[in-house]
Amino acid sequence: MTRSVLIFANCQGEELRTTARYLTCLTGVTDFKWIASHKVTDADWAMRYGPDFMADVAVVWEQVESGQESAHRAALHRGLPKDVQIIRFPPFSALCLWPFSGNDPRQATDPTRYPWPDSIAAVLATEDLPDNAMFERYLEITAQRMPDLERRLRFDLARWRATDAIADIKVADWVERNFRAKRLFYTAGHVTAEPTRFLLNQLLSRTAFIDGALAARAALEIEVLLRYHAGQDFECVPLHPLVAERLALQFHDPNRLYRWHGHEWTLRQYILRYIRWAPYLD
Amino acid sequence: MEAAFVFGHVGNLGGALISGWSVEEGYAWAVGKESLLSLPLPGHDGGLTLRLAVHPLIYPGVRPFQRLILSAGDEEIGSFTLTKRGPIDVPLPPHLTRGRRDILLTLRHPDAIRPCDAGDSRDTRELAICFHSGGLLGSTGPGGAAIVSGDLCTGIMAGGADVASLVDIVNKLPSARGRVEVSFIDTRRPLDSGSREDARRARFCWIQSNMGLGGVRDSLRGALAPDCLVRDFAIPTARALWPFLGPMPGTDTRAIPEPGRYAPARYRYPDRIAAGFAAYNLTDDVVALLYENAVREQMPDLDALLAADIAEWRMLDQRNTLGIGGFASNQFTSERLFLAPMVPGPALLREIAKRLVASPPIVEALDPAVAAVEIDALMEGFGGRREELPVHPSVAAHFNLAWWSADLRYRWHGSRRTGTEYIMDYIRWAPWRP
Repeated sequence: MTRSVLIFANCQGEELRTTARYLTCLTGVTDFKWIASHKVTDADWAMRYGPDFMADVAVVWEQVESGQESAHRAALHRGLPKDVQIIRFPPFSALCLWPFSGNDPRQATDPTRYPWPDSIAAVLATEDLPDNAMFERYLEITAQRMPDLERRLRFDLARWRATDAIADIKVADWVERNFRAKRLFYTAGHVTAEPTRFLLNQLLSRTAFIDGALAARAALEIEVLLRYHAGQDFECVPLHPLVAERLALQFHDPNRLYRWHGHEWTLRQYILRYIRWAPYLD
Repeated sequence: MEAAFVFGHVGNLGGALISGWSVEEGYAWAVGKESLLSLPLPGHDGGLTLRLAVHPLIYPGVRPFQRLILSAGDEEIGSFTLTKRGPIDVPLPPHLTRGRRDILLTLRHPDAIRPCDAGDSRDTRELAICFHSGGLLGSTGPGGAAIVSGDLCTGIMAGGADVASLVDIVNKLPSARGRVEVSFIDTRRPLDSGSREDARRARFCWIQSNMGLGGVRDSLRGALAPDCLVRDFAIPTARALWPFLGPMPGTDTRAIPEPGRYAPARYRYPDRIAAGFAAYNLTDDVVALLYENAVREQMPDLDALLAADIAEWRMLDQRNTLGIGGFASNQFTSERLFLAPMVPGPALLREIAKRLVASPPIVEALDPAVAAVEIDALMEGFGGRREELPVHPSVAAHFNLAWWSADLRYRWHGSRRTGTEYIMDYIRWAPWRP
């Protein structure tokens, strides 16, 4: 029976699984399964993730979370075979990429159209202004109300270190070292290929039944698979120029286009569409 | 929505939170037993509903719910028992809002609790409910746009993946809301009961003639009501953007299915010249140079290839109700009509969408000029299917393609590569992931 690696994580786990499944050096060695920790239901544990599903699991890559153990995490631990190896890793997240973690009353009835709420854009939604004036107004208000981003970054760092403390793999130092030079985040919780590359190499090198030589071969294949890959870019919130300036983000390009489902928009195009809650294509 | 409110320091209710509030960056807590809110109003005579996104402070076993009672003056206008985060709607009595620019609301929350008394928090504030955002809904409905009463024009567009995109475009046009509703039927697989039901109710049916299974298209025609208006259209394909061809078995022997990873093949558009360098054990720059030389030496008559494409487009025009071949011929060099031999680009889809909505019976429900403007707006920045093949510099130069540039990056599912990167990956048969 093939030994499986079970990934218990949010959508970042799906990135790990998809990349890992394309590693030809692991064909026949292991399979990769993913339980979406943010979507799993009580019924799933009974119907989908019962003993048959768990029978071949030899290793668990478990994404940790701070706070009390959730009911689903407890259900995972109850269902695992004995003697399974568990490797804990932290989630990647960044709340300092203001202003896309605010509030918007339109989300109450339409939560998925623009799921990264921008409070400033929301309050402009009922203004009747032409495009140029609207965008100017947005830039003006965001400049006035921008919070202390260094403080937010310190909160992020504190959170990264808090989840590092309960994980086997540490990411805080790596993120802190790299996030100004390279884009690591598209949204507060969606990542480029860089974090996936870093994490997958770490996880494979700690997986007991994968020896050093195999992990090294896998690392080369990961490099090939991800060298041109954009990561979780299906929803990219744009980078506000003042955020880039205040956080000294060296990768910021004011002319950059940001993917939003089937589109690629500038900051201005995204913001105007967000304010007007405009439909888009997948 | 007639007005949008965001609580907290970054929001727009700073002066309206009169008393009983603890304001944070992105939200405000109602504190104590009562809070006062001076809510801005639009000043017209229409009916209004206040929608609030709130989050009660709950401690299971200690404080399982929070009550919220709203009143204006002596009149109670809403009462809720909140157990989880979500929106609440409070209809505002017209006699209290008519012609006014604000209304003073009293919010009573008798179940406020100090976190330090209920858990391990050191927070001594008496908190009840967290207010995130709010809005005023007018009488036009929750989406803010008027719903048009009357006859809904329902129809079908049937074909492959690109027809699904056309359906998405039509259904998302603001002017189509409440007037036109189109369902997609995939003719690459047998009709299911839902598709048959859609077919039975359809007033019109557009069928892509050059995609899908003929038997399924025939079944669909048979399932339509007798008075359903049936029309055909074709989405052109192109072979002029050599050396990438459509699926051609045998062109590259490496092109076989890899179960669980690639179907029908790792690279589904064979390049005969690139395949010839597969066994070359040389550095990338040398192989790239050899490939370039081979392309120049073996370049076919590109004008003849384009002429063959145009002849085929004309033939499709003759066989179908909707003609797009003339547009494709005229715009071939100025707009990116094809992302790959079998994949239409956004410019081609946009034109097809405009012609569909300008045709009966949709044209009777929508103003085609308005719809065309909406299509342009909806498709701004749209890239189409994420399957793009590079265009060789010699081919781009030969056709003088206005949209082409040497630094273009081409999307292939999750990846973006330059033309040279794509070719080298093809020659090396490099794996990729979606």
